[in-house]
Amino acid sequence: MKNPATPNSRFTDRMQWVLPNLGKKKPDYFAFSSKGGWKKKTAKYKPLHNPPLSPHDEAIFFLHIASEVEHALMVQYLYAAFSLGGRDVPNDKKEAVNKWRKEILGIAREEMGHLITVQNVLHAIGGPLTFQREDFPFDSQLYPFHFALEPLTKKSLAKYVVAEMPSEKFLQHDKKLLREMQPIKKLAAQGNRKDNVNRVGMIYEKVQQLLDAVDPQDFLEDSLGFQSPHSAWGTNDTKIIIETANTAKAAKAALAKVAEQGEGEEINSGATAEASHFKRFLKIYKAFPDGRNWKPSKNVPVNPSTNVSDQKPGPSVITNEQALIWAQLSNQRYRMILLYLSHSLQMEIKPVSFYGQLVSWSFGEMYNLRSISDILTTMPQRNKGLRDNCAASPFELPYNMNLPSREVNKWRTHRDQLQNSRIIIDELLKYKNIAHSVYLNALRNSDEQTLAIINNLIHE
Amino acid sequence: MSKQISEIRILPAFAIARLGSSPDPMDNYDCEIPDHVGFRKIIPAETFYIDPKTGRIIDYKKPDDVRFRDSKKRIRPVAPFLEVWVRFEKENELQPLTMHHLKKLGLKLSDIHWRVRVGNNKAFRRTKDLNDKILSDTSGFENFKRKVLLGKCKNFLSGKTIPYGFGQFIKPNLKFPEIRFRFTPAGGFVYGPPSVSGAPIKAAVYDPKHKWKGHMDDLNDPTVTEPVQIYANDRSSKVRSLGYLDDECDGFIEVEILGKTKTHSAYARVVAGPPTFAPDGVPVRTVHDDLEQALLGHLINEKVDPKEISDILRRALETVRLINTSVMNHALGMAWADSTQGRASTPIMNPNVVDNLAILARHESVLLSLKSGSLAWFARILRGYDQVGDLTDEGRRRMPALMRGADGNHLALTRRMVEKIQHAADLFLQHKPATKD
Repeated sequence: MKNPATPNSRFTDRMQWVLPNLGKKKPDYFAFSSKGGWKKKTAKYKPLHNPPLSPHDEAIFFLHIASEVEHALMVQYLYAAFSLGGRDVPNDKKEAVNKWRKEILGIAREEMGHLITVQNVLHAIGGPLTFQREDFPFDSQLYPFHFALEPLTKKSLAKYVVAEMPSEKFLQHDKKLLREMQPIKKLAAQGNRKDNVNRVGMIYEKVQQLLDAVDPQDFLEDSLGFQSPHSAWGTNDTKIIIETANTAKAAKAALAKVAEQGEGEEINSGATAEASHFKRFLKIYKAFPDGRNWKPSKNVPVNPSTNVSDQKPGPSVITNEQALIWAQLSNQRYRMILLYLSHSLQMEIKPVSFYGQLVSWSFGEMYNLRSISDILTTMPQRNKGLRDNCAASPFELPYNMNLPSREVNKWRTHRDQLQNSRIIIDELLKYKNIAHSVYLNALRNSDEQTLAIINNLIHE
Repeated sequence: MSKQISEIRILPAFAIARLGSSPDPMDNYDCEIPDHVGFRKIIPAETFYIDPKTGRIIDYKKPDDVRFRDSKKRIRPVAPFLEVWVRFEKENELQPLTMHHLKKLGLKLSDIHWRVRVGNNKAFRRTKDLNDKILSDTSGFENFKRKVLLGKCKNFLSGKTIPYGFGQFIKPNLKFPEIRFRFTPAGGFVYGPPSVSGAPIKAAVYDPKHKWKGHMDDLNDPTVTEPVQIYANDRSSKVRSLGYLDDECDGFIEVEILGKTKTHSAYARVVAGPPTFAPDGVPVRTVHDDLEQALLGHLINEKVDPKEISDILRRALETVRLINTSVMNHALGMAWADSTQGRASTPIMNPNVVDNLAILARHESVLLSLKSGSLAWFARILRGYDQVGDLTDEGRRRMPALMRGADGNHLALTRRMVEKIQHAADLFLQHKPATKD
C-alpha cells in the first residue's frame, strides 16, 4: 500500500485501493487509520478516490485514468513498432519483423480508437475531456506498468502481454494458458523495475461499475452531436473501435468493447479471438528472439529526450544536432495531433462546421508523425560515443494541452503550432544537403495552405 | 547495297485526340510539379506548326504560353502526330524512318501510302442494326493534302455524313526528315434526326424511321452494354433515345511502304474523345492504367518505382479536387445508383466530414507522407476489383470513393495499380524512408 503522503501523481495521490469481495455492503469511504493505514474494505461501487467523490465525479476520475493509460499505451506501442527493423535484421527474418511492425502499429491505432471512445463516454456524462498523459504515475495498482519508450524486446513484449491479459478468473478456464503466463509475468516484472504488471482491463471493470451508479439523467442525449463517430475517421477498419454513447447501457457496451479488444475475454476461440491485443502480443512474444543471436530492433534510446540543457546530457538525450531538431519537429507535430483532436471533440459536429477539417488534419498529423519517426530512426542519436545508436521520436508532451475557451482563439492556437513548426523546418532546411528536404519543403507548403484556411477563420 | 527494312511500326501505336472546333490545333505542353502537394504547372513545349494546305512544317517552337481556346473562344483540338519507325535487317533497335532512309532504299515519298478508317458504332452497339454503323474510309492515299474523314451510314438521310476530322501526311524536309502523319479530330458537335425541336444539333443526318431514334435498352438482354441507358433520352420512364450522335470516333491509321521487293505495313489506333477541362490534373484511373495491365498483367514481379505510387496518389488528389464531395455523397452519382439496387438511400461517407477541403487535406497528407517513405494505411482502404458491387457501408467507403467505373459499379483501381501500392506499402514497412531526395 502506498503511503499517501509521498508525492506521486495527481491520480495516485488521490487513490486508495480497496480489495473487492469482502462482502461489506455499506461503503466505507473513510477507512484510513493512523495505525492500520487504509482498511481493506469494499463497497458497492468500489470507490477508490480519497476522499470519496460522487459517483458521477468518480466515473470521470476513472475515465481520465483510462484515457491517460490508453494514450500512454498508444505511444509506447508506436515507439516499439518504429524501433523494429533496420540493417541488422537477417534477410530471412525481415518478413517476420515486418509483420510484427505492422501488427503493433495496428494495435497502436486501435489504442487511439480506445482513447477517442473514452472521450466520447466523457462527453456522454458531461465530463471534461482529457488528452493528458502522465508518464510516471505507476505507483498504483491500476496503471499497467512504468511508462517507458523502449525498443521492442522479449522483456518489453512480456509487459505488453501481461497488461492486455484477461483476468485471472478467466484464465482459470485455460490451465495451459495459465501455466504459460507464469514465466511471462515473471519476465514482465523484471522489465518493470521488479514491479508486477497490472491488467488494463481492471480500469474498465471499475468504470463499468461506476457508470451503473451515475444518475441516468446525467447521460446526455444531445452529447452525441459532439462525439466522434467511427465513420468520421473514414478508416474503414473495423478493428478500430470508436463507439459513441448516450445512455449508461451504451456507454458500458462501448467500454466493454474496448476492454474486450484488449483482452478478448468473451471470445473463446476462432479467428476473432486472434484479434485481441493479448493474443496478438502473445503470438509475437512466442516468435520473438531473446536477442542472443539477432535483434529485431534498432538501437533506439530508452525514453529519448530533447532536453539538452544539462552540461552532461544523459544517455537518452538526442545530441546529434540534426536529429535533435527532427525530434523537436516530431514533438511539435505530436502536439498538433492532440490539439486538433481535442478541438474536434469540443466542436458540435455539423456539415457546415470545420469538424471534418480538424479530423482530416488530425489524420494528416498521424501520417506526419509516422514519417518523421521513421526518418529519426535513420539518424544517429549522438555525435560522439555510441555512434550506432539511432535517434527516435521522443513523444514529449508540451507545457500544456489546454485550448482557449473562445472558438476564435482555438484557431489562434492552431496557427501558433503551424508557425512553431515552420521555425523548426526552416532551421532544418538551413543545413546543406539535408536528407528529406523534399519532404520538409512539401510539409512546409502544406502547412502554408492550412495556415491560410486558419487565418481566414481567425479574421472572418 | 543498303540495309533492307525488316519491319515498320507506327508510334505511338495508340493516340488520343481531343475534339475542338478551332482550326488552330492545340500546342504541346508539359506539366511540372513545383510543389509536391500543390498543383501541376502547365508549361509550353516544342510544337510543330503545319501548313494545312501543303502539309509542310512551317515552324517548330515553344509557344509563349499555353492556351486551350483560340481568340474566338473555340476549343483548340488535340491533334496527335504519328511517326513511322523502322527496324532494318540485322538490327535490334527501332528508329524513326526518314526520307534519307527512303532515298538509300531507292524509294520515294509517294511509295508511302496511308489509309484512315474510323467510325462510331455507339448506335449500332445499342440497336444491333448493322446499318447503324457509321464508318469512314479514306482508302489509300500518298499526297500531303488533308484527307477529310466523312462518317457514312446506311440509316442516314440521303447524302448526309458526319465529319470526323481529317488525316494528313506531313511533308518531311531536311530539318525534319521523319515520316509523320497527323490525325485531327472533329469539332465536337452533336447530330441527330430532323424532327427534334430545339435540339442543339449541328445538322440533321439520321433518318428517324430507323431504330436509333426511339431506341430503348432492353434491360433483360444480357448482351446490352453496361451501364445501360447512357444516351440522350426523352427522360420518360422508358428512356427512349432521341437519336443523337456525336462526332467522336475511333479506328485505325494504316501505312504501307511499297518496297522494291516487299510491301511493309503497320497500323496504329486512334481515338477522338472530348476535350479536357482540367488539363492540370489526371484522373485516378486512365486508359493507360488499363493498357498497362493488359500488357504486363496484374501481378507485380519487379520493384515498384516510388514515383509510380506518388503519381497514383497525386492523381487521386487531383480527382478529388474536381468532385463536389458533399453533393456526391448523397442522392447523386453512386450514392443514388446504390439506392436503385435495392439498398437504402444513405450517404456514402459521414456527411460531417466530406467537405471538399477536408477530403483534399486528407489526400494531401497521404501524398505528403509518401514523400518520406510511409505509405501508411492507404493500401488497406483500396477497393478490390471484386468489391465493386459491395454495397455494405464499408464497401461503399473504400477508395476511390464516390466514383463510377465503366461498368456502372463503384470505381476500383486496376488490379495492377492496387498490387503496386500494396507492394510499395510492404517495402516501406520493411525499411522506411525510400526517398532521401
